[in-house]
Amino acid sequence: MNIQITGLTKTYPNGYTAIKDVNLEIGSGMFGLLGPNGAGKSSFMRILVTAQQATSGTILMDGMDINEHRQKIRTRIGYLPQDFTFFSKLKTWEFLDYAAQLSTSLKKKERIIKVDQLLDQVGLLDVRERLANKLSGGMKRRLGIAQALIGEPRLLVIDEPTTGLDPEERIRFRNILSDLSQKDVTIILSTHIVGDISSTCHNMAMLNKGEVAFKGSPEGMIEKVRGHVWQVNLNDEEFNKIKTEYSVVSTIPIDGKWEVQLIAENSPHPKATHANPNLEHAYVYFMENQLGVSLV
Amino acid sequence: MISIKNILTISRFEAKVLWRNWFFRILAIAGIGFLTIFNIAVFSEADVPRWAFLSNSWMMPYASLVLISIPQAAAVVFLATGLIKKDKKVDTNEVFFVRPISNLDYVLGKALALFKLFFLLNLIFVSISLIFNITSPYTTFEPLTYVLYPLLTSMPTIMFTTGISFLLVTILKNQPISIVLLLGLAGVQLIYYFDQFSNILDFVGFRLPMFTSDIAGFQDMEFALIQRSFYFILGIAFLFMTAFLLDRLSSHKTTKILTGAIGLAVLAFSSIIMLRLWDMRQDPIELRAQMVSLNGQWAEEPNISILSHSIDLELSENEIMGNSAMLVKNNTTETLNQIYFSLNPGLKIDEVLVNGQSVSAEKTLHIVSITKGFSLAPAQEMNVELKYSGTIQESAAHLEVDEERYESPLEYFTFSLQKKYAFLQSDYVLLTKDVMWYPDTQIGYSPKTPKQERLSFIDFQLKVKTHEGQMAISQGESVVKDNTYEFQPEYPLSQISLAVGDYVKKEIMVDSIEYAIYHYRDHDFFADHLDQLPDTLSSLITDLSNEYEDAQKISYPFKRLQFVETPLQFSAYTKVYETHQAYLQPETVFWPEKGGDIRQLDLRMQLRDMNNQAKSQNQTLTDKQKQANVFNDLIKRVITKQIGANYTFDGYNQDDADYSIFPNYYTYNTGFVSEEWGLLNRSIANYLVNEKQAQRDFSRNRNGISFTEECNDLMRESSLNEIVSEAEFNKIQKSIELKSEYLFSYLGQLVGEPNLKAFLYEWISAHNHQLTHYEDLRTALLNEFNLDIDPIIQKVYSETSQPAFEILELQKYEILDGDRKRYQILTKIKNSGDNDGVIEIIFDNKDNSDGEFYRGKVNEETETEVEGQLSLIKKGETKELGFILDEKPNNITINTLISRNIPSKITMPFGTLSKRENATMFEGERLATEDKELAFTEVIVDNEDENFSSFSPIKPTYLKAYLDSRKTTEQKYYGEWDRPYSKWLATTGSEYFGTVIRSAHFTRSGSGEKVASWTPEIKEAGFYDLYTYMKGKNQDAYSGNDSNGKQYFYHYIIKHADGEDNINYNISNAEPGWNYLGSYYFNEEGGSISLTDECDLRTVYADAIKWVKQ
Repeated sequence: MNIQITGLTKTYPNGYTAIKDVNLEIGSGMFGLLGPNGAGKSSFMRILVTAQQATSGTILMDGMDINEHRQKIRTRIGYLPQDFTFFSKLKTWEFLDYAAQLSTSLKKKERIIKVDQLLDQVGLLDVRERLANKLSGGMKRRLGIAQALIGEPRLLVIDEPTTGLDPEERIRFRNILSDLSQKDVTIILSTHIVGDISSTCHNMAMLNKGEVAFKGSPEGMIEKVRGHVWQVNLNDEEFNKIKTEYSVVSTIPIDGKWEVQLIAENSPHPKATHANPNLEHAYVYFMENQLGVSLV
Repeated sequence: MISIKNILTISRFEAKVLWRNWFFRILAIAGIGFLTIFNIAVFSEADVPRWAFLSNSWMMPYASLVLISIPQAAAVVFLATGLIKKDKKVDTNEVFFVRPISNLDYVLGKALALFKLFFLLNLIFVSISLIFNITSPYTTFEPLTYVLYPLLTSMPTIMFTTGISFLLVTILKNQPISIVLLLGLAGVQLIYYFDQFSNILDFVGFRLPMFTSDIAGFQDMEFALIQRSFYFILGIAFLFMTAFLLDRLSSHKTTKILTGAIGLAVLAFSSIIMLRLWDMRQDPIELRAQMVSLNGQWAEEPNISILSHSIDLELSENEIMGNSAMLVKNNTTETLNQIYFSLNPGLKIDEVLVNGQSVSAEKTLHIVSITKGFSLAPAQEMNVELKYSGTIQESAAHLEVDEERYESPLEYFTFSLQKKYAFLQSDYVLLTKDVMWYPDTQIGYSPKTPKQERLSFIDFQLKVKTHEGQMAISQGESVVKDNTYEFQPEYPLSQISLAVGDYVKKEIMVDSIEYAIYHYRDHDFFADHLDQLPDTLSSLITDLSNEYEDAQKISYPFKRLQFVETPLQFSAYTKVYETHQAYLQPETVFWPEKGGDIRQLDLRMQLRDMNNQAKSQNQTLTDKQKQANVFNDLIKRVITKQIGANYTFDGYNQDDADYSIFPNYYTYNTGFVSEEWGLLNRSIANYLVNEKQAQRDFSRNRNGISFTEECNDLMRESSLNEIVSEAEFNKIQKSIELKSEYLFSYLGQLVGEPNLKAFLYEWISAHNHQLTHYEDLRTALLNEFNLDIDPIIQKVYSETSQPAFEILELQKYEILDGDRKRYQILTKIKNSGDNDGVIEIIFDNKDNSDGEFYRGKVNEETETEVEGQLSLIKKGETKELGFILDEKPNNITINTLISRNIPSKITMPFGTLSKRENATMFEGERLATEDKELAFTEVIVDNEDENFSSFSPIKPTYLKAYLDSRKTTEQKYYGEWDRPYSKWLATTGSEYFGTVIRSAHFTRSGSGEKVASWTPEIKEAGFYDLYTYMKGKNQDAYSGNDSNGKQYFYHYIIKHADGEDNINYNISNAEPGWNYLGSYYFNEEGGSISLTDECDLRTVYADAIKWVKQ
């Protein structure tokens, strides 16, 4: 699915502007939306899935304006919201069946097969009779992804999918998404965890305070920061000083000294050497850049 | 916009969720449990169920559904608001919001889920009823009721409640506030608008009349259907509005607009239904107002009198076609060029013939006027024939009844019944003169001329053509040919009635009178219970009839007495100028369907009670005797009223059905025509009727004074005419009753009581089936007794001043008169009021100690009540009255009729009588000399005096304070049921001390904080004996007299010249009257006696204290 977002702005009735003039084009595959808490990611996602309306701007999905063709768009999307924990009293398979009935026109037999297939795919077949409420956090997320997938959507919107999951669940979840991205489906994944993006997305954007701070590939984002990541070994006094002047990305204590990685436009210390940048560095770089602090 | 598939899907899953909701499950189990217990308790054979609960085949499911309706609505409110609210707790809902469903799918799906569950629940509810219904050996099964009632009661309620809950929670976005508002709304409806506006606002259908008659079917289905549809449709409108306002992006702008528009359209449609409902309620009210006003225009117009009236009636579906051939006469003194008739406004005039010539007539509402084609000189007669056809508008009946009474419900257990004044259906017809189904020259009520004079007794003939298989019942001998019934009453009647239906007649001739019961087919429930009676019935009837005629001293003036079963909804009112309700017609008593809720017709229960009673009294009775007792009880309590009701709340329920047969002896038999004294007939009837009153009246326990005293109070302010035109109906009734009793008691004192009664009985017997003129009566009385009653009537009806009686002395002795024990009672009574007065003195041998006031006994022996002796005591007079009795009296009752006395009827027990031998006895009355002044050596302080005071530091509870603040009238006395917690209040009763007003203060017992004090003015220092006035042992409290031997005390604080004494005074041996408290020294400074509220009994009374100098 091709999504064109032009001039998207969302201002809430209380005057708070969550999204400011966002312009993006999103194609097939995994698309990562990175940003700190409160950056406007959830608002953006909710607008994408027609859960709320933008104040201005347009979104075209495969050329269709989502405000004009809401019903049609809704047949093509799957959505997993950020908080997906509290269920009404339905069993796991019933919950999925409920979603299935509302988004597909499958006959009962086929539907049940499909529901069980999906449960199997997300590893919940063993607990199909359990009340959805009684599932663990990771299972609930997986049930969430299953319900998002049940209508075979062209666009999958997943808001903060790995929050609160243990590492094993997290990897499992990423793998499910990776499998999906092989098909002709657009997956939009919002997260504030850099690792989620670096391991799965080919395209991404970074939102900060409602504005797009970066758009492109993760590699492109890393490239932007190349030459601005420094590594240096410092004593206590030096470390305390540098901490206040630069954005420190990591510190490792070694033999009474500190091995420090930091972001700086120019060499922060005579002994500083260039370090290999990664997405986390880029994230900090762009965040700081946006804030206009420390970077000269 | 709507996808059935989506709605069904949503409803299926949401129903599952609701079904798993513990709250729903608890409610469902509670509802099922409650109804099961209710059905077991009320309908099952676990105990003997009341016949009224089983007699009607529509009762069982209706009772269950009506009872459950209010809690069910509350449950829907709780669940529905929870179902639609959007909150974080069910955030997984969001994923359904982005599914391709419309808002309407979502809302309707959820509503359907709720609806389905409650539908199922209601199926279970009615199944419970069904089980009890089909297993009950005494009730009949009507399948339709199991379909009709759920549809009419629960379904619209659920739809409406769901709709309004959804809408409110969507608008307010807050479930608790929405619930509070909705329950508040229901509360306002139930508290403020209960039974108002013809139950248009009754959204749960709790009081909407939907009870069905087994004779005439569902009454006013149209109104019920429209009312229920209104709430159903309004519920749907609210669902659409909810979808419109739902916090979810709609599929498309146009979809949203369309949803809103349809919602508004449905809302508009429901408003139209509401307007129609309002009209249905308002139209009859307006018609009545117009008719009353039209009556006013015609009231003074002279008119003809009807001498004979032959009615030919044909019934078709819901219409009648009638032909009335009348011989009329000009009884006025002027030539008439205009005559008029009254006829139901639903009937139209097809043709009018005067002396065989067709003439034109004009009909406005219910008045048919003929002004052309004749001129009728005084005393001249002519023939008038009216042909008419159409329907009967029931609202034309009982115009004298004001709107409040007219709209008040006809209570039947918790149900309100549709009030019907006539039935005109293809399967059932019931017509009385109140609906003007045949032409008459008497026009109805108008406030200008409130009195409704009876103009004539008419020779009626009635010919009715009925449908196949129907029986017609009217007055007179009937001749049946094919389906045509011809009735020919043997004597002129004031009115006739007609009932047509699938009746079965059971008859018996006793002493040349035909007694007949007309019951509906298969409604002879009494036959099995009274199966032993047939061969003794005739002697039972003879005995009952003799007993009644002995009491009434008038012979039954008709050839037959028929008891005709009528639908439960048939309704009547008590009248002002007549003593009868429409349940009584000439020769006829209309009794309610299968006995209605008349306890004495619950024969199975009566027989059971009879058995228990016999057992407890160690009596051996045959079945036949038991049945005879039950039969006698029925007739004596309901028809002849020779046994009074066990208790009453005087002044309440004035329109309760009255089946007394007395109107057949007086109202339908004779009467006086008086231009001036419209109330005279009523007064005479009141004087002559000899029915037993209720044994106990609880109006004093409730209000502090009795209803009679309330009316006496009113009569001190207003003349009877003012009361009749302005007061509340119950007070009008009572005031007329009291004035009538007083008027004839007064006249009786002037000419001799037995003479007056004998004169009146003779007069009536000489004038059966005809009216006489008041002037003739007046002249006859003048000739007989040399007494002109006119100024006396004038005075009694108009005066407002009243006597006040003080009982100065009451002495009682047992006297040995040779070998004979006799009893001398001497009393001295002073009239200190400002008018002459009559008192009635009654002695009885009743022992009140058996405590069985509440539970009546079947066919209990009537107390041999000594007839009261009247005495006239003129203003300012003191009379000494002496009585010699052969039997030891237990109580004396002094009924002061109309007076300032409270209580107006004073009953005092005699206690032990002192013995005398061969003393001179005095019987009769004599004027007494001035009563001696109270000796200065004796000081009494009563709670009515200013030297009495009470004190309470206790604040009332918030609820009590709120309730008190809502009282609009000043109240001086309070009923003993109103036991005050925070203060001393005054109450009244014979058992208290007082001269004209006998009262005491009372309070709920407490820890001694509330105190009542008596402060005497002592003129002479010295030792005084103190006495306190008591009701009797333990102040007559039940808990103190239940023979557990516990002793109770009052705590008195006596401040005397030597200091202060605290006394715990044993009241467990107190006598009624003065009880010795102790002797103390008092000087001119006075001192005081205080009583605290400390007592183990629940109530403490503070009445009077007496100081007697030693």
